[in-house]
Amino acid sequence: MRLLGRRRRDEELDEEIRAHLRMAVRDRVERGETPEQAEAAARREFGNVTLVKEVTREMWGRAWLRQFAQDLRYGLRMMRREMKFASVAVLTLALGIGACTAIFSVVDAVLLRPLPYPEAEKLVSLREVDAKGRQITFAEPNFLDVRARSRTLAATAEYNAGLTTVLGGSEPVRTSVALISADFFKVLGVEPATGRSFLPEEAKAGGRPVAVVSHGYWQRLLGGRNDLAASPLRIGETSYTVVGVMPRGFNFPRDAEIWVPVELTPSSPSRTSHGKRVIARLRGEVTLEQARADLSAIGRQLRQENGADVDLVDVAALPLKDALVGEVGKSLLVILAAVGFLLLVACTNVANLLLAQVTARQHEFAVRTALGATRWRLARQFVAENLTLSLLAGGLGVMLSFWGVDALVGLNQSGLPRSDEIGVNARTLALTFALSTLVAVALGLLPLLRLRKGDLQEGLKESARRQSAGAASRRLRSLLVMTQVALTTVLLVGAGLLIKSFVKVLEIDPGFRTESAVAMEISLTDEQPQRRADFYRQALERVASLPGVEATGGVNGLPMTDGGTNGQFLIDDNPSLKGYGEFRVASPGYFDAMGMRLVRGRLYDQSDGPNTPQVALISESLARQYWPNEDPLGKGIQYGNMDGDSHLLRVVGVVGDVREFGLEASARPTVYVHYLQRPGQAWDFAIVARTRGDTRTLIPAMRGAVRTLNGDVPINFRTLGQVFSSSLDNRRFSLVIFGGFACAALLLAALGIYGVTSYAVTQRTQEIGIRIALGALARDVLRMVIGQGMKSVLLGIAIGLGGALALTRLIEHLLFGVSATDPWTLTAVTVLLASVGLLACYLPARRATKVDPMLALRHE
Amino acid sequence: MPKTTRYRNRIELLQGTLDLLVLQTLQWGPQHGYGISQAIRTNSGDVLRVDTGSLYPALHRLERQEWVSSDWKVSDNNQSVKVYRLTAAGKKQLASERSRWEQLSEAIARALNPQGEGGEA
Repeated sequence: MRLLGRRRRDEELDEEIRAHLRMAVRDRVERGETPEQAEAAARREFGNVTLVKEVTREMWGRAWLRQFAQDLRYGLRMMRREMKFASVAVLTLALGIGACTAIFSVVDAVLLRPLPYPEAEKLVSLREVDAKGRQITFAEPNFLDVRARSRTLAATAEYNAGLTTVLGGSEPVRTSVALISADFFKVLGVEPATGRSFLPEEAKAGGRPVAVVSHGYWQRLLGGRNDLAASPLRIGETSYTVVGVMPRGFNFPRDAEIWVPVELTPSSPSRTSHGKRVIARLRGEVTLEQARADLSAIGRQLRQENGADVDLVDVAALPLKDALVGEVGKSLLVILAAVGFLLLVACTNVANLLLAQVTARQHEFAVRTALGATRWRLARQFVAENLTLSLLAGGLGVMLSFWGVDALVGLNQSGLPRSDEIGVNARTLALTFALSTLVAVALGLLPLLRLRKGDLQEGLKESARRQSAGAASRRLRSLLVMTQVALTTVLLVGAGLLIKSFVKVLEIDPGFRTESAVAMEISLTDEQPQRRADFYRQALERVASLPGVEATGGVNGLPMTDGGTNGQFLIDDNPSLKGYGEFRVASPGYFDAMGMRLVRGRLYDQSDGPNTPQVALISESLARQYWPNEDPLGKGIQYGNMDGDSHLLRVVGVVGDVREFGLEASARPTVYVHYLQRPGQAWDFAIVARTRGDTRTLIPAMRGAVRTLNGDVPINFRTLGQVFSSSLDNRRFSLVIFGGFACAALLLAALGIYGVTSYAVTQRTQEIGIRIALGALARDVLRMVIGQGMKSVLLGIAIGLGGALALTRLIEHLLFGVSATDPWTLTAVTVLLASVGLLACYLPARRATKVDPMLALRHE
Repeated sequence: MPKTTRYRNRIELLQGTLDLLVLQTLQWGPQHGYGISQAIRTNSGDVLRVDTGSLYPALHRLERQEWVSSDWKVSDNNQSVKVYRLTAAGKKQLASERSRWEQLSEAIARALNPQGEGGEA
């Protein structure tokens, strides 16, 4: 088999056939014909040279591929010729495909991909379940029992992480340090890449303090040196020897950079002091159901053995991935659906554009059919042409999606779990490619649906160049517009409901005033509570003396951050009267600085100090819950659970509720203790300063005030407004995205309606000219054009509303304070779309009224 | 006076039989496309006229299947012609096609003249 290039082979075939004809002519001439006769006869006898060549070439195989390449080249030529159409189509598709790819990247990384640990489906997160059915974190003694007694778990570990100051690296940093139990790395199935993890004699009380660091920390602050033991770390009063470095990218718990054994830090022996997170790996072939049964049995045992000393009635296990992803998963799926809608709208726009192209090229298709092309062959050509379009759009879309993914992650950094794993990668690129191809094929076949043989023959006539090829094409166009409008309606209704929810959430009173105040978060590692309290007292005094500061105070956990602890307390020291609440350590000025209300009694004042009887302030909801019909003032609370101090706290005042866990969660019952009396739990402290002036000038002043006391301690500044706003991040995220898609869809739909109406006007120019010549007024023409255009729009809205009523049930979990079938939203969307549609029809209609009848009649 | 060739019915040849005829023609020596078509016509007593639309595709297909091979030669009038030649594999193929054809024609003949019917054979 000769392996010649295509061109050579074509030339040879030409030569071969020429030779054949030459010899045939020569023979005929020899037989007595004239050269001209011979020439003509030989050609006639040979047949259609082109056809013969074509069929022969097919014998070479790979004809299919060659034709396809030819069609692709033709497609590119077409695009160059019709630049305007091509650029609009490519941009529209790129928008749809880019948005889809970006969203899918996020969904893939967060929801679909398994956690990056070996056999990650065996990993579970364990929780205690209390009598009310709430899932809470573990208390250490309970964890130890579960670990010892479970038969279905191969390894169990607890962990706890918090921001702490770490010294010993090239500079002090405030970073997340995780306290982990012995089997932590075994559960996850990951070992340090350099060095080792903890030895059994290290992971126990009194063991030698050791630590494992993250790859990032090792590079940045330990210089990537191999001699790990040479740079011990200092956390608090303890010096830890570094023994291992985790592999690059290991990130559990999230953002943790240092891992130390939890056994080194004495933990509360109380079974009601929660805060430990527990993960476990299922043994061998054990199913989740079996594990759950096993754990529930242990939970019941613990309950029986410990009675009221323990909160839990059950132990729950859920797959670790679900625990990490949480609520965000559902909103992401909704957003994925929304972007699918957007893509469909984009595709219908492009389909309409293509339909117009097809009509213009009718003549060409008719000729090709006459030359022997089958409908199948024409379809292949279409698909090839559209493939160039969609591949270009896909490429552009991928670029858009890079930017989009960055924007998405930036929009909700803290709220998106596994955000470090999100990125455009091979899978998403493959998706884009598949999407582009699918779109090409779908759009390619669409016009073909209405290309019937009859149409093609009509197409051969000259006059067919300008005709719209009948009602079928018009109907298809209206159908496309209707689809667009319906899809846009659904998106707009969804966005409207989300906007309304957001507004409703903002109407909730957070319990404190968010404007004009700065929060400064300090983190001390001094083990001595009294020394810490003293430092904070001095810091508070200095800040209070700054110009412009109206009130200042501090607390160990600001609302809407993850600070502070909670636990069980006893009322009046009576073991049978138990309560559960949030525990906060606060300074006297705190409540004024935050702008919280005083409901009864008094706030802390100068008379309260380390040597006076301990006093507590309680929140309204706590008073309502535990003393519904009596005056809570004067009652006693024993909160030894939290810091080991079992002095009785006297309630001296009731303050307004604060939304500790965000606006949408109800306020929790809270007990505030005085920071000088009970500083035990105050490691981190946030000093809040309310100012008459500008918060921006206050921040450097506050920083300066603290620095004079201690040059190194890490401090972090936020305004109360920022604290408040970041609690809304999740909701804002969904809203911005959904809203963005809805707006994009609206724009595309408007363009689509405009395009179709404009085209219709062009097609009917002759008819309009005649009508005007016969006496039609401007308003008659307007009525005619707009009427026809709006028919599809209104039908589309109606269908869309029906779809919205059916589908919005699916986003109910995202809504707040508004029903999924809220009539105001539906009405507003209808009015909006109808107006936009009206405008989009009006512009071409106006053009129609200006048609000059004489020109129109000559128009072909 | 030019001889007018009368229009004859072109007998449509099955693809397989065309291959057979081409291979057979080439057994008598290498030949170019025009020559093959003339040879088939002559040898069949002017009955079989090979449609060039079938011949050239057949030739190229046979070449792809490596039953014939081709070369460019210079003819007597100093023109280049593409000449086809039977390969060893082609010879084998020809033999098997011939035997198959003979079996087939024998079977058809038997079917047309079933046993027991007297009269002219």
